[in-house]
Amino acid sequence: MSEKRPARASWLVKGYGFFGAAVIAAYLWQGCTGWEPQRGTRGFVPQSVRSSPGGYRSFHYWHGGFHGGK
Amino acid sequence: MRSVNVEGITYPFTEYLLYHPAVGYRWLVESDRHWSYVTPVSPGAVSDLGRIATYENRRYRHFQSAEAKVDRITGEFYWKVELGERVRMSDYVRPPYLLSVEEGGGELQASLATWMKPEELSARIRPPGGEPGSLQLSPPQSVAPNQPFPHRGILMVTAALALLLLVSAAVLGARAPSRSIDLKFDPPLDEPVLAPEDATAPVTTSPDGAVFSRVHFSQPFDVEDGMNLAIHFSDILSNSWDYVAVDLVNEDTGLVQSFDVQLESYSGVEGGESWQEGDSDKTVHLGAVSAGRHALRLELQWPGATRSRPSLAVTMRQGVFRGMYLSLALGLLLIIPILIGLQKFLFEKRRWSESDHPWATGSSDE
Repeated sequence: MSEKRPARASWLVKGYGFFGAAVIAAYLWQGCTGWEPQRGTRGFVPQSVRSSPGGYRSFHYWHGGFHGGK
Repeated sequence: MRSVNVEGITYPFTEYLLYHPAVGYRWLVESDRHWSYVTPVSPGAVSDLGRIATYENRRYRHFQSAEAKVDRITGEFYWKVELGERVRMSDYVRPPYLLSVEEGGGELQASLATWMKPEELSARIRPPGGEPGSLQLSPPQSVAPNQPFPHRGILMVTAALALLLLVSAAVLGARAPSRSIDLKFDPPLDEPVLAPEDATAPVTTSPDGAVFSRVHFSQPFDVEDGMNLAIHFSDILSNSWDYVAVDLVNEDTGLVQSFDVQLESYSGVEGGESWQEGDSDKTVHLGAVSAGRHALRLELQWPGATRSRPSLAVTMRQGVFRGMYLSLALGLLLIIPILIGLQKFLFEKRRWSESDHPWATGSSDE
């Protein structure tokens, strides 16, 4: 029987190591790709509409927006 | 079998003497379902007895001193042992080790016990007529003096991960160009509105009065691939507000990303105390968009009753370092160690509650 025992990591410590590595990988992925949570809405506007001065109104224009302060 | 009596409570423990020609005499000690493998050590090698004992340059904390009494004897021994024999026993811990010093009959004995998991011990013992591992040992319910905290090493793993995260952040921060994009709007953002009919959109009314609305287009600008965008909006506001509906248009593909921003700042004095609320500047972060020519379209609204023209300023940067995600990642990394730290605190509290020094919580596991 061994007189000295080697220290072994528990399943929780090992799992935490994998979790931490995943967190760092996700952090690096975000930093390298410039990912951000989507803000607002996305859509396509035809070129003809975009090039028509005054002919294009945003989503917020047609759907209310903000019309007052405090 | 021996026992110690502490404050009227008897704590029995069983010692099994083992012998192997190549190893010599060893013991297996069972106490409250906890098992330890015990090796004799030279008493002369143990020093600084008191609250701390030192053996082989390792420090052990005093756990308990008590008188042990022999209650029952079975089998053969290599020394003369008698029922009722008493020794003064002092235990020092450094989990998973327990250094025990016994003094009695003019002799001084010392031993080093190593805590073992029941399944670890069972795997190493072959019971008569059975196979190694077939011996069923009940799991302990209490915390032994030399039982190591099960999640040792969490601090080291946490420190390594935190260091790796900080290095990653330093690399990302160093390579983030934070490139400024020059925005020129038509009409200029600070162009005055002389009358409501000058506004490019219909003027609406609200309880605050007339609301001016005007649309601004930026000159096209180039955006690179794979980098986020930070658009900063600010205005000098005094009990007023701005509302900006924003469209970021990719002129090549027609993809439009729409969002809005509200700036407001209100202040006053109420009940003799001044107050202030609202944000007069905000930064919107957008995820990376495909490279190409883009334009911003702003539809700005502001209360005409308070200002004839807005003083909105809009700046844009690409490839900015995001401290928020570093904080988020660091927070995620620390949740589990904090919970484990709490568990260790309770574990050590239970361990030391059985000692001569209850409520002491510090102990250095190996």
